[in-house]
Amino acid sequence: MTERPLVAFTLLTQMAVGAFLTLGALDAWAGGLTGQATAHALTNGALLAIGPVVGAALLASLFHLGSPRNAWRTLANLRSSWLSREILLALLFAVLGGLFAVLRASGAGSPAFRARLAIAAAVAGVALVYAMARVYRLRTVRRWDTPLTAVSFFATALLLGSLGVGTGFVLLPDVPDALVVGPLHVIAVVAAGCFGAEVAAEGSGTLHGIRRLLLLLGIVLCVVLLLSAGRATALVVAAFLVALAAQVLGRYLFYVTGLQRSL
Amino acid sequence: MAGPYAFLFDAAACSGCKACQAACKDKHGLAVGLLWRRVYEIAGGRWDRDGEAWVPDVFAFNLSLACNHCEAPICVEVCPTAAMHRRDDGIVLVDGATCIGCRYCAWACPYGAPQYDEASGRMTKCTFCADHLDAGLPPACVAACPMRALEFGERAALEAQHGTSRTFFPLPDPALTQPGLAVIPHRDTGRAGPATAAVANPEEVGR
Repeated sequence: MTERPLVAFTLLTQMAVGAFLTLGALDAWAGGLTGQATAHALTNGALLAIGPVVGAALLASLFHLGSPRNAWRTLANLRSSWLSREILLALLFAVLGGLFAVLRASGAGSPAFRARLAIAAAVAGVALVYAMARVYRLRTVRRWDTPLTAVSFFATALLLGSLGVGTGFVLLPDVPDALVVGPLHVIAVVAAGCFGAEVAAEGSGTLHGIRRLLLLLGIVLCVVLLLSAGRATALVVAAFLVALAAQVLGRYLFYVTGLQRSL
Repeated sequence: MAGPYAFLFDAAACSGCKACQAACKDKHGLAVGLLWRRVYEIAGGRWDRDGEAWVPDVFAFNLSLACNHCEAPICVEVCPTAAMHRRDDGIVLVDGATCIGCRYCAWACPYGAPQYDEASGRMTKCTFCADHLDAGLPPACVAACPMRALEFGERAALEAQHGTSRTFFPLPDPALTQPGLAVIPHRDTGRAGPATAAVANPEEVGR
């Protein structure tokens, strides 16, 4: 399948946007609870990790091109091509988010400026996921041209982003347990909702059946996580890996079914 | 003629000899895997019980398709680099110098017209033999047809004569892209549908 680079590009980009939004929410929550310094210590590492993820996503997208040396031309049709808009927003999200991460990790810039930068990056990220969905809403491709495409892309962003951040937290030794449990419970609820949205849209067939089982397993893991009171490292990592497997399979099937043509 | 141009395909007259497909491949020197014009063999049928006997009731017809140089070309609309463009005379072309080979046009086109060339890493497609038109000659596919099942002309004239809305399986809804394609149906096109017929030569036409 020639769309493998796009499975990586779309999933990694969506995970990055979801992780950025999760960190923003977490920062606001932890900041109110503990004061800015602790909140920043909590989220800085994860924030800086988003950069390489977006970089890897953009690099992966180049492998889909037959003539990657012409890649700079992709912004030439912003007037009517959602693919042009997608790439512009991806670059915008990468630049704004990257600048914000570097400024905050180094303590440069005023907090007010950094907050505006973070909001701008978050808006670019949400617009990016929307643009990605529009790329596939071609009026000539019936299986893609449904609102479910956008639902699935946003669910993917929140699912992989929140569980990715959760995995970072439980694996970081210097994050105190007291700060971990609250966010993990919220992440469990968000992820369970996303698993549920994805399972509702599943198709029929063997691979779809395997994916449905993975999604249901994800819901079970999230419920157990919600009921657990400790750090629950194994549970969070397992839920993230299950989510990753389900979405890789799901995105692969998305391309296979969408590109079945009669002519 | 000044365009925009259209093809006329007569499914009732086509014998499926594929001279059009071969003439196109020959004129443009197309590599293995590229067919700017393709002849789809559409076939279907069933067995009917007649007392103790089972009697076949089958049908088959051909569909010769190239690029239809649409009035609303979705390939042009979605191309991120604007390499895919529509000339003033309606001919849709891809500029190899600016194409990035992302294949998005191929996903969007419901006719399979833009085709990826592995060797160059770029998209290629039917040019309506614009060089022939400029020289007052018909496109190679039209000139090659021994059944006169394939004609070309100004879109307005062909549509006035043959109508715009006639279509049959497996052609997509013409409202999607407004193709420059007039068709004369075969007597069995009415029997063909997604559940009753299929493209019988998928390997040949790259499906």
